[in-house]
Amino acid sequence: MKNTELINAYFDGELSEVDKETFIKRLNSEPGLKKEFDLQSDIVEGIKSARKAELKAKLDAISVGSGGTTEGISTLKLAAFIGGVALIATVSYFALTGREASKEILAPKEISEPIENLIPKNSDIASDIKEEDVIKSEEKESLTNKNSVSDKATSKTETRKPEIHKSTLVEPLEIDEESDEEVAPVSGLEEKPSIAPSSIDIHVDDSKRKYDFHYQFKDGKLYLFGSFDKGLYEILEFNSSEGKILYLFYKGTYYDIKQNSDDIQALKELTEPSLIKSLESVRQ
Amino acid sequence: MNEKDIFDKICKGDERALEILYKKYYRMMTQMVMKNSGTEQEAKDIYQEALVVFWQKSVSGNLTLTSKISTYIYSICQNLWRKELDRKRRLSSEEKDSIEYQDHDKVERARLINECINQMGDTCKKVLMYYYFDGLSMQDIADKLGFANTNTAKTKKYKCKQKLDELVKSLYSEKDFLD
Repeated sequence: MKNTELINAYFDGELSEVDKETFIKRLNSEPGLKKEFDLQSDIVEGIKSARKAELKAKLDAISVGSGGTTEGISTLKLAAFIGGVALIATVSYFALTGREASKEILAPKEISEPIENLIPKNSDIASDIKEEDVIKSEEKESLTNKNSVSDKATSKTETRKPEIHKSTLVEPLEIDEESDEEVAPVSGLEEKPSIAPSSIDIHVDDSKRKYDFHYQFKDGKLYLFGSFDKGLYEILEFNSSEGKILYLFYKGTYYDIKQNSDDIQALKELTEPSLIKSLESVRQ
Repeated sequence: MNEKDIFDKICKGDERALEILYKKYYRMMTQMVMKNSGTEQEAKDIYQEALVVFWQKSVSGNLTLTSKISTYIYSICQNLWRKELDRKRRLSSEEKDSIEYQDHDKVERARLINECINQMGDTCKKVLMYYYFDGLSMQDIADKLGFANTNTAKTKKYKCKQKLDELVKSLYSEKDFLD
């Protein structure tokens, strides 16, 4: 048997144990055979490496989500953060005209910003979720805008009902681990949207000079005392685990509106930078 | 597709089942590496390497699964990552230069052989890869590649290997490899 055939027989596992031992002994004593053996060994290793690389390339071509794991999750976390902060944002705008004499009541100017704008637009989220077999995502989306405007006028008081935007909002995305695993579970994603319509009656009263720039939250209605008709104001409503949280935005400043008392209270300006920043991002 | 189905298909050399498996456990396996000071790319490399090991053992019939696939692959990932961390530690020590020199020589030889492999036809490459890496029998190779019988597969493998040897030897002088 030629050296090459012998070496090939060795790599093919065709040598008996006795022949194998003899062959190994020869390798140690015959440099020519050893060199040829090393070459063949390298070639076989090269074939194995090529196959490994081929399999890895196939795996590498599989999309498992944008940036794999961390990037995808980060995006979802970001969406979850904003969804958590702003479960419901109902924004009402009132536009005024300059007709002071008649104080003509105007229908509030509607700003119906789609709720999707509150969530970072990242098409990767949808595509990632779709692509992963183990990750199931359900996003039920229904966006309905119902506007109800009723205007009432009295000689001194303007009562305006804001537009109520019923919007679908995204709650923090839950990352559920697949129970299939013992060592470390695989995650699945569930997105649970919620619909939380909101309606707050807002009444502006500028007749009580004693209570200039005050407010009162009573019987689910918000009374604003002062000359609010001279500017544009917005009510930001959020749902949290502790209930609804209201903020007033007026002339570039945010004010806290507490609902734990029926008393007329002075509007207090918010000063916490992080909160203002969050409100600003939601408003925009 | 449940675990048993996936494993059965992989044992039969179904690469699509491997792809399903890859996606199924991607997050779990890569997180293990990333939580142990690995980068995302390192995590991906380790997971792919582990799956290739799993593939080779399964398809060659050398694996009897006694645990969940995920548990098995997870342990491979752990071992591979430990080895990688050890390698990194060694590289940061004094022996770095000599290792690099040896590795460079080895890598260069592997690159030259890989070049020769790439010059071969698809069928030849598949026959040799299925035989030497996947450990498929001649019957399996004949079935996979549509050969008439095992003798055809055997002849094909012999000729392809001979062709590769010649290619390697013709492209590079004996001195390059044997000195």
